[in-house]
Amino acid sequence: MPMMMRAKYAKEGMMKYLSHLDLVRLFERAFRRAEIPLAFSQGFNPHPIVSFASPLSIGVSSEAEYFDLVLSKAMHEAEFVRKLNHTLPEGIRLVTAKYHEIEKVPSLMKESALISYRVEGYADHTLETNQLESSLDIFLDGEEIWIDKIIKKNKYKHRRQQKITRINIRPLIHALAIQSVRDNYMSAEIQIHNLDSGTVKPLIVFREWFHSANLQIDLDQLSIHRLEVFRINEQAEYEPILPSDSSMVQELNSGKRDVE
Amino acid sequence: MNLEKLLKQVEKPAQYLGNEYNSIRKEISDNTIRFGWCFPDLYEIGMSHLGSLIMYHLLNEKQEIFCERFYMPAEDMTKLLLENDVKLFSLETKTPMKEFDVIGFTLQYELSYTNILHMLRMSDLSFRSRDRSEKDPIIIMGGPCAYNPEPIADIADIVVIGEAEEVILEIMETYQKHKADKAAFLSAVSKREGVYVPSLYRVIADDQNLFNVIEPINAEAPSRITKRYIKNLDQSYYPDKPLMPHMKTVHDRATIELFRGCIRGCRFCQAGMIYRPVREKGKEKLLSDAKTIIQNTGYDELSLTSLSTSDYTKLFDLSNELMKDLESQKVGLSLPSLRLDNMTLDILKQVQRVRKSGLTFAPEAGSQRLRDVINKGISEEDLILSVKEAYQAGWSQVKLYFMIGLPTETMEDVEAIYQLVSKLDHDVFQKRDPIYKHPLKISVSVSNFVPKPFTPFQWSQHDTMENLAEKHRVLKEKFRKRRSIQFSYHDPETSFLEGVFARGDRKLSEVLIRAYEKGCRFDGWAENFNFDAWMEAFQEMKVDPNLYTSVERPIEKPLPWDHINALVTKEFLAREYEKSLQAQKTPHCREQCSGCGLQFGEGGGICP
Repeated sequence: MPMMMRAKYAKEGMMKYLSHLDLVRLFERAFRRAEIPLAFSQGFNPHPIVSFASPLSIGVSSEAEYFDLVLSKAMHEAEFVRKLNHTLPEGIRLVTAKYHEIEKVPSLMKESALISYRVEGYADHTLETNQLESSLDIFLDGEEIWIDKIIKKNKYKHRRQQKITRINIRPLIHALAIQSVRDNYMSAEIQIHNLDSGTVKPLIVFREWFHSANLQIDLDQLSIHRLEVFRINEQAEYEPILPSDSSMVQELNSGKRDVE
Repeated sequence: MNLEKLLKQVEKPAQYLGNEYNSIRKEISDNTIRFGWCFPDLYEIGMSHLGSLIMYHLLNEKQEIFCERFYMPAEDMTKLLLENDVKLFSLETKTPMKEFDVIGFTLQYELSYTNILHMLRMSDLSFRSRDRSEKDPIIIMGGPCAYNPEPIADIADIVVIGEAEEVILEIMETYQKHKADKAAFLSAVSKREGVYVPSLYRVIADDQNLFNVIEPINAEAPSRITKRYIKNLDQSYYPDKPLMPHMKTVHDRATIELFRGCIRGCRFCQAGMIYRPVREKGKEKLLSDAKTIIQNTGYDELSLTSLSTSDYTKLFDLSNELMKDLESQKVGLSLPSLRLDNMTLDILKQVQRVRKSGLTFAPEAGSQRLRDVINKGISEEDLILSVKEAYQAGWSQVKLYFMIGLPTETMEDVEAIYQLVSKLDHDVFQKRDPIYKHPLKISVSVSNFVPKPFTPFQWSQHDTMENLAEKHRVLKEKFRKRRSIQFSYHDPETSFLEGVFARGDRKLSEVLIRAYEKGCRFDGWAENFNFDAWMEAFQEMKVDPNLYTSVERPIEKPLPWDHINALVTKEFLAREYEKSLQAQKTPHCREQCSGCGLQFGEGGGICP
């Protein structure tokens, strides 16, 4: 029976500029420092068996990232979180973990059905709530928002070929709403479907909206933060893959966490 | 500064973040001495450099010193820094270089010199030491290239000769005493052994008006600067909580240093001469260091580093005991710089129990005669036997390093590279016992020999770019027929420039600045190297680069680095040069002392 730990972690502050591969390496090293009982892949190049849910773009922060880690020995969830948090660098922090001992847990990739983000930006002019909302209504009205998507056909630079396809991103947008507007600042929340056939980055949605509404909001200064990744449960409802407010988190927050 | 705005626009932002695991943070007070450690190349290169790691942690051990790091910004970041009028910043506190007290550049390869200028320019600091003010930081340079400090002598305030961890804290002590007065500090520090203050020396031309030769301006500074080195490596500082890079670097692993120096005496090798004498670390110290470092980092690979790892006297026991500790954690061992002639199958088998990395051999020359010239005591039989053993033990990738342009080399010697590799492929793989099913991938890398100071070949003629190109052509033609063997070589133009700066004199400081002004930087990166701009810079400064490369230098004439004492004597080097021209070998230090000069050094018999 495979022993597996599913963990939820946050990637915040400057650490949001780490690439996905850098982060995988960071965790593999942290597992070793924390003396987590790891199971290893077979072969000449043994690696811890860990899989991550949909990778975050560089520059996007998150409070709901997930990984599954195969263990060689059962381990208490709270201990797992405590040991790792003790050795993780500032900006990376485990939020919660859930231990599984069943034959097959659906993969995180498959479980990730819907992803929510908070997006904040600054315009070079004053923003009005009404104007923003009406431009958003126009943007979301209808069934279609077509964009050009560049597909890199070859990863080797010197013979990289690019193919451009047109895709309709409107069906991927589950919800998009403005949260607050103050002077030239605005924040919004968006929920995006993560389908087998594909998904869309929040930056692309906002770029298209700003463009269609002629809003001068600097995309380089847009701050994007992933809030949650949802699965579809047996009742066909969306729920966080792991809820953050589990009893274990309460236990952790009640001061039981080791201080060295 | 809106750093985040810049980070969002660059390709690899991780290299500018700082705050890596095991990096150092300190409270800064008025008494803090701020040291900026500068590696004049990209983060992914600099973070792999063991010397930088040692210096960073050593300096930060001192409570009153806070050492931060600077790396060369990638081109996209340079563009953004200029557009937004932002100065290059330290990784730890994002502070510009100008606000530091002392700046240290490490000189690992000559082709990084323009990057030093770029980092100064991006920090709004003048290139020439005489143009910098009292308030500007003191600029120290050191590292292997500092053994010929003259090409950067107008730029550095101080050049450290030898192993900087032996002397840097003394320099900082002197700095603390003379903080307020740069001239007093430079004068005081010049009396410390291993410290060269170029502004206290002047250039005298030699009789043919060829090379600049150096002498002190007044009697206060020593006429020769003697290198510093650590006497007891076991007691020397070694970081047990080493800084870990945010991103993948060239050598992304934990490292322990088995020994310094090399017993071999290969005549082309500068490291083998300047890091003398050989000093080993004890096995127990290495075992405990390894354990602590893996615990404190979580690396999955440990590298046993040195100039010639198989010459470590207790290598068998060491790797055996290390594997016992590391195997359960699935930590692999890597043994770079193994020699063919005493590499044992047992050690190889031990190492590959966990993880197999490719095997690298360096026969350096194709013919036995030329291997004798360079004193690389390896025979064809040794090589073939070693590769065969490795192949039969399960290795399927072999990398072979050769050099061309070696002294006395003929086209037959060059062709011998192909013959040797063919024979190897034939004897080991084509004629293999059918019980072995796995492939053997051979890659051959040919680099261009560059004569370096403090080697027996310091007087040699540097092979011309035309000759090197012809030799490449011949080899390329031959290897084309062998699809299974991957063949690569280096551009002759970069080797030429490297040779000019390796054996150049003080005149080159101005050429360097001119070349930088013409846009030269990242010269070591083929896609950035602009040879034409360099040649224009030489022409405009009226310096003929061929002066430094194209003639054999007479042994009795002074050399631009004669004021540096690397402890190997000129007599020894000359003796070795003579022997090389006769293709006579010199036994290694454990067989017989070759009288290089170190045996007269402090402590006398510290040679192995």
